[in-house]
Amino acid sequence: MSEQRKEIEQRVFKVVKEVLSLEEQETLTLETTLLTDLGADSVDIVSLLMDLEDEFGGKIEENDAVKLQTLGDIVDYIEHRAASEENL
Amino acid sequence: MPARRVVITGLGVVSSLGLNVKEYWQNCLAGRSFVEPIPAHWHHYAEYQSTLWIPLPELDYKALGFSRMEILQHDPVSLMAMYASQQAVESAQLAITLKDKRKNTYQLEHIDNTRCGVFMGTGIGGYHTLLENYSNQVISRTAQSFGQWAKTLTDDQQQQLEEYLQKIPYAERFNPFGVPMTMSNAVSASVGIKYTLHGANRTFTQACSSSTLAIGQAFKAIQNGELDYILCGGSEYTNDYFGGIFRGFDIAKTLVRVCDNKDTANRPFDKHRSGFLYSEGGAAVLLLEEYHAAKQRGAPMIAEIAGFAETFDAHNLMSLAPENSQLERMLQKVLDDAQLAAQDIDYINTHGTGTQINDQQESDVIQHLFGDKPLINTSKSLLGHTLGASGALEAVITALSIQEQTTHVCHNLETAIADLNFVKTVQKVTINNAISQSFAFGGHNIALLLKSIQD
Repeated sequence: MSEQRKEIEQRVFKVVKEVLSLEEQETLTLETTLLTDLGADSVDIVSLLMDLEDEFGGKIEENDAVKLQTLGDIVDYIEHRAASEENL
Repeated sequence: MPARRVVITGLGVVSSLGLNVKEYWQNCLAGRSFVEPIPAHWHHYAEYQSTLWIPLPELDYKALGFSRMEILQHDPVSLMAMYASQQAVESAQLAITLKDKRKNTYQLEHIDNTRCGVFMGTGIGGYHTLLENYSNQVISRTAQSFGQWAKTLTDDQQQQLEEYLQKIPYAERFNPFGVPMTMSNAVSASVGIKYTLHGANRTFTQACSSSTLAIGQAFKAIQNGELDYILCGGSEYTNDYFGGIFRGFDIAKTLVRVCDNKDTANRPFDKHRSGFLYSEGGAAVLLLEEYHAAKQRGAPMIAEIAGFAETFDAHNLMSLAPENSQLERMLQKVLDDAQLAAQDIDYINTHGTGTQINDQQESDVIQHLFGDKPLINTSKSLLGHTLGASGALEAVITALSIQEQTTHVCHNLETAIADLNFVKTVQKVTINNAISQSFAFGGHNIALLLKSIQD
């Protein structure tokens, strides 16, 4: 795993823990799902996307947002955007 | 059946004079007032006659216990009401337990929460959020177009354009929670959600008397048996990036106009007053409950609310009716409601804005009905005008003045416009019965009558 991907992953996990009020020691993986594993509702997810925008810059478009089911999806998305030199 | 008695058992404040009741009260008694020049960048957008305001201390909501989700989803007007409510619940010694960790919500222990309500006042609700979102709506795409066009310009021209663009910043996003953040009723709704209170949840919007009305209606709702516990008061947040809310009051010629000396500019009831001092806002919340229930649970009792009255001028949206008849009727009604006479009143916390008309008419009415016996002060001489929150912030001071048997001075009063018993020094006094009153744009006149606790 590249250093950059590792850093993105850590930052995503940190934002998820803070927005969803998870315990610091809670184990998150790239396979963790927002809806089923973390019990996030639609309002939680909107808040999470806002905070991810604040953390990484740029805007997560609605069409992209609906595809983000797992934490791995979020990390992939941000890594892809970073590779194409867009914010976020 | 005699009417139920209503007591204040908890207080909370967010203000320029402190983020808790102890600090607030100490600063009031010390006669402090933190007046500052308005933000420098507001001068980019307009000329103003008034150039002073009273900002709030910086609020670190995370450090105050709010979750990231709460901070993202609430306008400051609601966050301040929630924080003042938290203080009121704690000081009333009500036991609470965590209900939902993610939502950061609580519930009261040993109390039927269908009998608990929230009554809050706010003049402009989440106006701050509305304007933030509007800056995104109006400016963002245009500014981005200018940014593209700038690439075709010379370096000097680009630099000049950049300077202009820096003066029209805009919110980076149109907040998806913008509607609930803006709506006025979010103030009471947010508090009701925070503490899982299922009784009546009401927000009152009546300009500068909003929170006085909220407290008065809460008093009546407990007195008549509708509810047993009510978090009541109000909140206001008057800051916007461009200073447009301030300008609205400035252009209406209501604000302090003699601004050479920030320490003496705000001088209600003084011959040299020149308008009211704009405040960034604040919040105050009182927990009201029925007297016997409070006594039974050993609650700290600060003061009793014994009277409430409201009248309406039916005259003008901005000016008090010149003949004072509705102010006098309001005061007579509040005395009647508490079954007291004018000579029983020891202290009046006035509306006391510092405008020419308000202070003259208010002092005339007080002189006519009460003479020079009651102590008179205005908390706006310290806090400036917090608009819809002012009545609740002043009710807190009135309650504390009764509990502590002392009150704060009428700040900067040198040449009084009337021969009233203005508070000039902080000393021990007897205050058994006190009135706190608010008047509002629109023509609304509201008074509360508070008493010391008697068995």
